[in-house]
Amino acid sequence: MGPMIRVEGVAKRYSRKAHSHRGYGLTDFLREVFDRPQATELRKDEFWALQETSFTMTRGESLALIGRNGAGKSTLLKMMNGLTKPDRGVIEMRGRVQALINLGAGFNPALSGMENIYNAASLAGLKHREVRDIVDTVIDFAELEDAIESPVETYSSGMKARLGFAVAVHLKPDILLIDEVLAVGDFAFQNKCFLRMEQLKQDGVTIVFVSHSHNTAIKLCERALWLHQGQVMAEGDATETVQRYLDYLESLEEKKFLAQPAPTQATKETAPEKAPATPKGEQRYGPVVSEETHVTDIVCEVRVGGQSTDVVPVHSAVEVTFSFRLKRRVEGLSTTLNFFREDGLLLGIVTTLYEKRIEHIHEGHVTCRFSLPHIDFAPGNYVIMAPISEGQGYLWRDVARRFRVTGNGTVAAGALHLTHDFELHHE
Amino acid sequence: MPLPMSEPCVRYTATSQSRHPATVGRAICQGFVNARYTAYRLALKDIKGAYAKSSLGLLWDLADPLMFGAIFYTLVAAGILHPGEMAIPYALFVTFGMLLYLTFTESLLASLRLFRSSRGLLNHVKIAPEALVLSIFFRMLFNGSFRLLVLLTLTLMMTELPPSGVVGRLLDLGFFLLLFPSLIMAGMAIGLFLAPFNALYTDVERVVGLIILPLRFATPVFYTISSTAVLLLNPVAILIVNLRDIATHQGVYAPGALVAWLAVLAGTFAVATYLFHLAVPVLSERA
Repeated sequence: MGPMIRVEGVAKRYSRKAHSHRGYGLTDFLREVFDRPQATELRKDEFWALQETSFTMTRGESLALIGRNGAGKSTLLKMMNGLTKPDRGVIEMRGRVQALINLGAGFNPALSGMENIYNAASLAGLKHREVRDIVDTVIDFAELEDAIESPVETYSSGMKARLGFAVAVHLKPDILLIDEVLAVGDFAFQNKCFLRMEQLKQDGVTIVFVSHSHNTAIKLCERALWLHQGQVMAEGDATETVQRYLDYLESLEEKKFLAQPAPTQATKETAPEKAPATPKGEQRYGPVVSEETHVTDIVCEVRVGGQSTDVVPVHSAVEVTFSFRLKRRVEGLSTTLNFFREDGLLLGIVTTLYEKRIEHIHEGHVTCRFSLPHIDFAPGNYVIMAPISEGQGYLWRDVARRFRVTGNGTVAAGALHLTHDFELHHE
Repeated sequence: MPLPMSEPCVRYTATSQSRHPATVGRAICQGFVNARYTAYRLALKDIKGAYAKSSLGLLWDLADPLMFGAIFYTLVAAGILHPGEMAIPYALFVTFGMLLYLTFTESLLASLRLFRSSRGLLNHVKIAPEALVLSIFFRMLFNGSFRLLVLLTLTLMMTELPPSGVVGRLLDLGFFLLLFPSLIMAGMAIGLFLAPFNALYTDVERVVGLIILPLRFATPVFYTISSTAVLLLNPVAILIVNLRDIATHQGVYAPGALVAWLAVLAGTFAVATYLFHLAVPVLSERA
């Protein structure tokens, strides 16, 4: 038995400019009509959305397509579904193909869920009788018994996703192509969908899955194909390929991070008499009091092995030194380190507030050293937001330091990369 | 479970489908046969969607041409307009003219806009292009059925039995009903032929809009046209004249020209369907 999917040397180009996009469309259409060979190279303003992509899949296999936005994943999926022609190469698909590129495609919002089930199933080629046979199962799977006669325009995006997915997976496909479409459903339904996809795999359905969730890609697929700017960067075992992709993303982040000026030094060197306006982005870490009216000479250092650094290997012991000079006598001084992920997620705090280590401080230089025996943050960029407070009021509260946690070669998921060990017993 | 050997293997390449026109022809024929239910559901979806939030529904589609017809009827009755000599009451003449011309233009525009109106589907769902074509035909038949009801009722009310009696009347009306879809086909043939170009440049639709307006006055919609040349060279005119004459028991006008135009329109429809089939995978993303 041959492969279910064969993709060989496939390439697709698009134009960057709307005018030439239409112009080339006309040329390509006329060439198609008069059987003239299509241009094999790029024309003016064009770029390769996908280049020289090849792979094969057998029955029951599953492949994750990973990569950043614009990598060519959806383009590849569309060509595999026959929605658009490749500009080079060959795609062969064996058996009934069902694609979930947009869950609401073909839905009419003014019609009921029931009518849309019939419409969506008929678009997949099912006859009325065949739809009637599966309609109860679809409704049951979508958990929409109470809303099935309501117009789809009254559905939430999650309900639409449930309906669309339920229809697609009950059409008995041989090949299932899924774009990133499950993100809108709630966790319980996502879980149900993944269990259903596992069942489909066991039934021999070949699955191609586009995902930005690396965990999902690894859990659902044995293989992964990493695309970057239209080129295949890696293809093989899902865990290894995802790890290579994550390493690449991490290296990108590191470059970006190293290109940023360190906040405290930069403030010191460039600060005019009046503090500059705080960038709006900093407000994701809570209120900002950046004027040095009460404190000055603020320095925050992250040390690993006694060396000041901005790059912290995961699980390493870290010492954070936070020092400043009080301009006046302060009663009830406390200081805190809020550790935020760069996107604003608060991971944890260390503070002197509850243990009252600092009290009745007169004006002068203050240094706090915080020791953290394990930094278990997942690889990524982090921000230390450090309030200096007098009682309930902030004397200063701003980003004191940024640092980066680097990985140790294992796949990380979630906000933390927990130190762990495990034993496996099998009977 | 191994796949049966007969399991279809679909192949997508950059090679033009035109290299094997017979294969494309077969695919189109299979598309029309296999996509009937899909086309029916698409048409039903469009119809229900279009009138889901309207109390009067399709009556609005009838209102515009009937209002136009009423204005012309009033102008003729008041002696302001002179539509020429005619064998049937003017009210019947103008109602036929308006509703038949509307059927033609509606078919033309719906086909012309097919890429844009189906963009969401074409970009996300693999669908036989013929299902879309057939769905337009079903939709036009549905809209046309209400117009036919109005026309047949008025015909029965305003015309006398032909010399051949009830049988003659039934034969005439049967012939009229048989010929009616050709008007839809005429609109669809022109619309589908231009649809790929309209997908890329909406100027096509604007030009068509500009032509449709004066064409109505070069077609016996509001008044009779005495110039034989105009009637014979305008396929819409020859179809409308014949549909009206047959329904009102006046016989077939220029049967040779009618058959010739029907053949030309059928050929154009076939070519246009072929072009549309080729255009879908090339242009769907650019519409």
